[in-house]
Amino acid sequence: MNEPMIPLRFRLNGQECRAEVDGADLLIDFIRDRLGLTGTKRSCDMEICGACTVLLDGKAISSCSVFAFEVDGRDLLTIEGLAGREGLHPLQQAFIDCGGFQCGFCTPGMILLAKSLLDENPDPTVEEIREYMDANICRCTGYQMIIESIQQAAKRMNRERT
Amino acid sequence: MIAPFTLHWPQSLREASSLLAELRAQARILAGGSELILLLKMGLADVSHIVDIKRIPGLGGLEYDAGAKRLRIGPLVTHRTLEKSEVVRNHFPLIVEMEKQLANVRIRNVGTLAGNLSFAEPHADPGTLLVAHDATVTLTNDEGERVLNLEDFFLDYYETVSKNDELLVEITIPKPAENCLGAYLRFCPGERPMVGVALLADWNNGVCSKLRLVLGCVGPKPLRARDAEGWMVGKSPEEIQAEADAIGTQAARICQPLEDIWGSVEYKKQIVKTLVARAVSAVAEKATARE
Repeated sequence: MNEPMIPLRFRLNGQECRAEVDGADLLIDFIRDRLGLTGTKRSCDMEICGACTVLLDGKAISSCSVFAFEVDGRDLLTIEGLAGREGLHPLQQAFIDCGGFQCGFCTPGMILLAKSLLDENPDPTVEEIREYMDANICRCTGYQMIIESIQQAAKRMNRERT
Repeated sequence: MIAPFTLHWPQSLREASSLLAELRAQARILAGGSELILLLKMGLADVSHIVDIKRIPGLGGLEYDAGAKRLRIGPLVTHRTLEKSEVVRNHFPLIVEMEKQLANVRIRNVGTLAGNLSFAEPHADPGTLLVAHDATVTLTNDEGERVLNLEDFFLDYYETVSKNDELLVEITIPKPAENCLGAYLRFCPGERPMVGVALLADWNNGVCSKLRLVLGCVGPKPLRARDAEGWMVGKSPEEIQAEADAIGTQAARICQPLEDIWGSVEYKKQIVKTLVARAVSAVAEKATARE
């Protein structure tokens, strides 16, 4: 079958981007193999583990189970787009400061999921963090340091806002 | 790697329906894709055409009709939208509680309620709770539309009565009566629930006047425990509470779970018995407290 390629225009980590994809291309393959952004990880490949989490229009999604063409006209954020000119994002810094990762494989997904949480709820309780972050799996940390990282980042981001 | 397919973007329901009529079994409808894409990746669906309905205007509606006391849900409404909706929280708190626990937030951001029901995966939460709510679904094709009780929409494992060219265009949920008390309990050791139990009971003059007890994940489709329902109607909360364990035992007898990696048939029946007893007890207790 020779299907026409689908042209895409979207924002990738804040920059206008154009590309063409096949209908059957998955977003994770497009991100990793075509855009070369390998921070997004493939692990369970069935929407359970969250290693492939990216933000589409600010919402956390599993890039392993979304078609690439869905990004057309939308805003895609991968872990590579999080740090600004002035340095690491407060979530990235907090994960370093609090030991929020060991092997690092789940970390891009964890940080992006945490960003979507804090964008929606800038001052979450521990219970709210636990509930929201139960979407993503970490096999190293036991989660406690991840929760602490998010609490610390939230504190710093709220301080900077005021 | 997903096998290539032809992608269609119908602009209207009419166009979608005639496409589906023409392509029949070769086509699948795409909304959120959270179930469909898993099937395609595993090679479990033989699909050469995908009909993406997201460009059809007007399918994302979520509104509460205060006059008719009904919630109307369009086919593109995601689980997350329902979870965060104020109007759903105000009138259908059990549905919000259920949606908050469904899968994970990444899936809830993408997956639609209509897609979940249409996929008819027996290990799911919404069907169980919505059958207890007396929800209906509207299916449409070129010949017109039909409205079905959700209970009759489900046919078998992964099967509904929807025809190839029919689209699920609306889910309608009547608001429970003011004197209704309910519970939704689930046991979920993995990603999908192993057992779900929904109970909605109306109370009048000190007795239960109407009741829905639905067992989920333990049969080809959500199963109403009609004998238990019949027994409880006309009884006081105290009488019902005293029989909670017996009602659980009876529910365990009628359910038809499959043995799988999560547990044996006996184990699952035990979970049904426990959850039903807890749900019955909790609702009877609330009814007693209200008297």
